[in-house]
Amino acid sequence: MTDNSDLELVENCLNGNKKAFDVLVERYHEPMFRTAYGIVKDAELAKDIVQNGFIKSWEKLHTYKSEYKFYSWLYRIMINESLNKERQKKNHDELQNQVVDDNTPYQQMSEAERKSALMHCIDELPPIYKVVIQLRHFEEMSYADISESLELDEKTVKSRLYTARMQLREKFLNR
Amino acid sequence: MKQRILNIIQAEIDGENSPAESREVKKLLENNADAKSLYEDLLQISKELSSLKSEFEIPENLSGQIKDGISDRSELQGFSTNNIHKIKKEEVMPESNKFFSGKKTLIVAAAAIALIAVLVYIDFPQPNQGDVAGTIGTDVERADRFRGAQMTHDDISLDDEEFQQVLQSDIFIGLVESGELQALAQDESFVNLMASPDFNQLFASPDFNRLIASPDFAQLMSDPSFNELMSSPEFSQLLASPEFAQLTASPDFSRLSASPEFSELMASPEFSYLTASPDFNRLSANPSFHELMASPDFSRLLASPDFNRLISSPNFSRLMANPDFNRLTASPDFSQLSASPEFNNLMSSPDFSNLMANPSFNQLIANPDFNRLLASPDFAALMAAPSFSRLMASPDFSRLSASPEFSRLMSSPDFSRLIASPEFSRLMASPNFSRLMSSPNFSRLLASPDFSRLAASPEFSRLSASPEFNQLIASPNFSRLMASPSFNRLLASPNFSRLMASPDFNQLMSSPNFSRLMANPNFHRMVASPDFGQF
Repeated sequence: MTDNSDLELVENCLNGNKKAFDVLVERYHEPMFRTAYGIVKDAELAKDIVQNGFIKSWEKLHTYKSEYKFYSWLYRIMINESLNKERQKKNHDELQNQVVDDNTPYQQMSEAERKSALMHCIDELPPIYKVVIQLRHFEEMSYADISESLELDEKTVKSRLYTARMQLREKFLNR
Repeated sequence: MKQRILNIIQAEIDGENSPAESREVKKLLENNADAKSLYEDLLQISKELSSLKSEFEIPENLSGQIKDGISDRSELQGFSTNNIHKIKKEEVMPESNKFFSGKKTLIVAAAAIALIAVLVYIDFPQPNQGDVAGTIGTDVERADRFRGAQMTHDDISLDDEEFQQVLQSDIFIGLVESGELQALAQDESFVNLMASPDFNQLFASPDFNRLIASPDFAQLMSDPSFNELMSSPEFSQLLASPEFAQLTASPDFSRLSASPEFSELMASPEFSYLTASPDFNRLSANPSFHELMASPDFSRLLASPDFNRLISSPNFSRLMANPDFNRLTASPDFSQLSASPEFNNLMSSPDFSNLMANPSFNQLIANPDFNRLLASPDFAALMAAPSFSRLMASPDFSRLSASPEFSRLMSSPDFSRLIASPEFSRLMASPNFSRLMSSPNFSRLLASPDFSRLAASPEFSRLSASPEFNQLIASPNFSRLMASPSFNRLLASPNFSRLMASPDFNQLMSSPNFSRLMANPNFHRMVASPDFGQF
């Protein structure tokens, strides 16, 4: 069953075969976790989001339309869940200003420092930009797949990706 | 630099260019310093970003936990992907209607859910109903005097199978023992609400009784998404928020919920299709939508006379395809409500936003059972009943919905299990229950201060929570007694009523000697002996 396509597995699942959904969980839980974690930056919360997201997708499987890719649909669920949680977190917690206030030039930073600073710059992006960066760079998705997952046209995806990268360039490379 | 140039430079880095576009970029980079600099910056940031992928550590056994979660859920809900109601694509409303009707629908749906939840609670059968004798059990210190209007056989027969099943179910006993019910019964706002004439009029109204007896109501009560929402903290927070209380108490809200336009919209298939549609769910779960709804600018727009003129204008009406929706939005009641400060305060409150963002809320409004209930004529009749409006507007109702005891009960698992149980549904749908609810004697009893005092007394709480009481009502002997015609005849007899109301009887019940006798094991042994039976 592990070799079956996503669509075959979805059909099997809709016919009552729960094992088929387990295969989908195996196939996609890692990228889903990375995406959720990339947005909420909290491993426990990301774990909850992925768990709830899979349960939700299982319960709503009948609403999935086969003309789209299954994983795009799944990403959409996870991203919406993550953004909701992120918003709730922001409502409840004081936004902690974790800006690295030294002005170490980019060239002088160690690799670990660079990664941490870049992560922080991504965190500071508005969610709509953060998501496209996640999908493009961490999940290596094409423009078409990002567009399907976020229900945006490709033009908007390109423009958001460009804006996000430009903002990161300003914040990170010119620091 | 032109947008197209920016796009192909970026696409080159992402490997999304056609060979011709790649050639074009290569040429451009050789001849244009700005383009080259941009390309290098984008390339560098892209490489840095891609190197971050390895930073994410996947928690151990995450997939196993997800699978377990799904299995638990399916066992809990008896859920199968096979039996889901499929929504046809063509049933979804036209795009043009989505935004405005979505917003109003959310308000209406939120209010409707809250109302239903409260109604579910307040028509919940309290243990008092079978507690006529009031002195059964060994730990009773004294019996409270019971001077309310006596129910007669015409009102209710205690041999009703539905009552028996609910009273004897584990779920009911669990709820009684859980403490939440007792805490609520002792809450002042609850007692006041129970005694208010509005409450009693509503209970006595045929509209209310038709609604709770309808199969739609029963189906909704047993729906997992309804129960999940009821027990969510977001729902409790909204109910407890001052904005919600202000809105439900406002005259504008009462007028709108009683208007025929509102009823027509609720009953329209378009309304059901919309709330059940995936598009509506996606919109209502979208964070930008919540941000917009919560923004002060949006509230100001809603409150402006221009906005109200627009939504009442014939052009706007023509734009909206749904005739029911148009009738509602064009009504003066609707305009008044959407312009009221209470409405706008609720819209911009964080509690309301939190509820909207709750997945259970979205599941519920997409639920066909819920939509059938909203579309049922019984629901429309209830919303239009003046007694319902008065109850919603009463300060007692506001106080009750804001009380922590009420929230605790709503979120207790026992309460959810009870209202989802088939026994509860059967009780709600039974004609005897309706008869009881609408009988004037029952109303008088609920309204009597003695009854409220009894329900709120610590003795009553102790009794109803005691294992002896619960064992008794679950025992076959108790059922047999309740079902016996002689017992029911006795309860209905004027002599019995006179005895219960007499000061002598009440003095005896309250005397320490009587309590001691009741608690004496020898007395129990004697009553249980065959000789006593023969005697």
